[in-house]
Amino acid sequence: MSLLEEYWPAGLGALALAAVSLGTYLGTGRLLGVSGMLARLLRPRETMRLARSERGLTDTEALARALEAATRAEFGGGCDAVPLPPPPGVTAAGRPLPASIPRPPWAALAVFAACTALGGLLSATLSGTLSFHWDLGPVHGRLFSEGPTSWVILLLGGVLVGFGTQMAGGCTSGHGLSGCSRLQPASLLATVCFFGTAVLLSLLLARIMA
Amino acid sequence: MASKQCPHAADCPLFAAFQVRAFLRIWQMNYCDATFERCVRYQRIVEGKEVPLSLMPNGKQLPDLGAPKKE
Ligand code: SF4
Repeated sequence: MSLLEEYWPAGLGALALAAVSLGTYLGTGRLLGVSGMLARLLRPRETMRLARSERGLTDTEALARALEAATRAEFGGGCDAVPLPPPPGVTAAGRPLPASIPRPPWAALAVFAACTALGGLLSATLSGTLSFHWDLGPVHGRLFSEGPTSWVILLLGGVLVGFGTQMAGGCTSGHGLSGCSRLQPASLLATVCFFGTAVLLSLLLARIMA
Repeated sequence: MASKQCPHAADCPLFAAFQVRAFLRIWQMNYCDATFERCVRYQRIVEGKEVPLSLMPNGKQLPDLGAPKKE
């Protein structure tokens, strides 16, 4: 007998997603966004260059000194000539700069991606549905035929998903979990769009296949 | 006319940094609270690109503070 049914119970799935979202935030100080992580994983040189460029900026005093030098270089005497009032609630000496959060290293992104695949494997094993096959199921076969054509369709679908997530600035995790949980208007709108489209398309396909 | 603020101010770590020292508010006055469209950070966000913390609104980079000091 399998430990879990074919699909996880919705409540358990929700708890697992909440734990991953919260765990990512508590562990890295950054919000979960899988498509962004994947994009950074696929650009290792850029990711490492960014991490290098931010080295030392977690030291707030060093950051304050660097910002002061950059301000003088940009505005010269202008920043002293125009005495700006301190921000509300801040004394003339200022407050400590907010601590910056270091970027997760490229290796951490690779571990996350590997764990995503392992999680799927574990879930399928626990539900007793683990099997390896080279087709995409009878529905996909009927809609898009079998063999190489179905693989090309799958590849095109992947490209469209990648393009869409980059264009929308997030995916089901970035907008759906991290954004909606913070009631971000853009994320709420994006989630309504992609989930709404998915539901409509599923209903349409179910009708076509009936 | 009501002044318009950069729509990314809430998530921008530099905006938060400019907020806590009077001396640094000149950046806010010149970019975030005025013509944020010319901020290079803003432009990169709009293009969907990564924005390093070390990138200033004028496009210049803060020095690499973690690099070993030259004698
Ligand atoms: S204008 Fe630039 S520095 Fe200011 S909040 Fe927007 S992105 Fe950040």
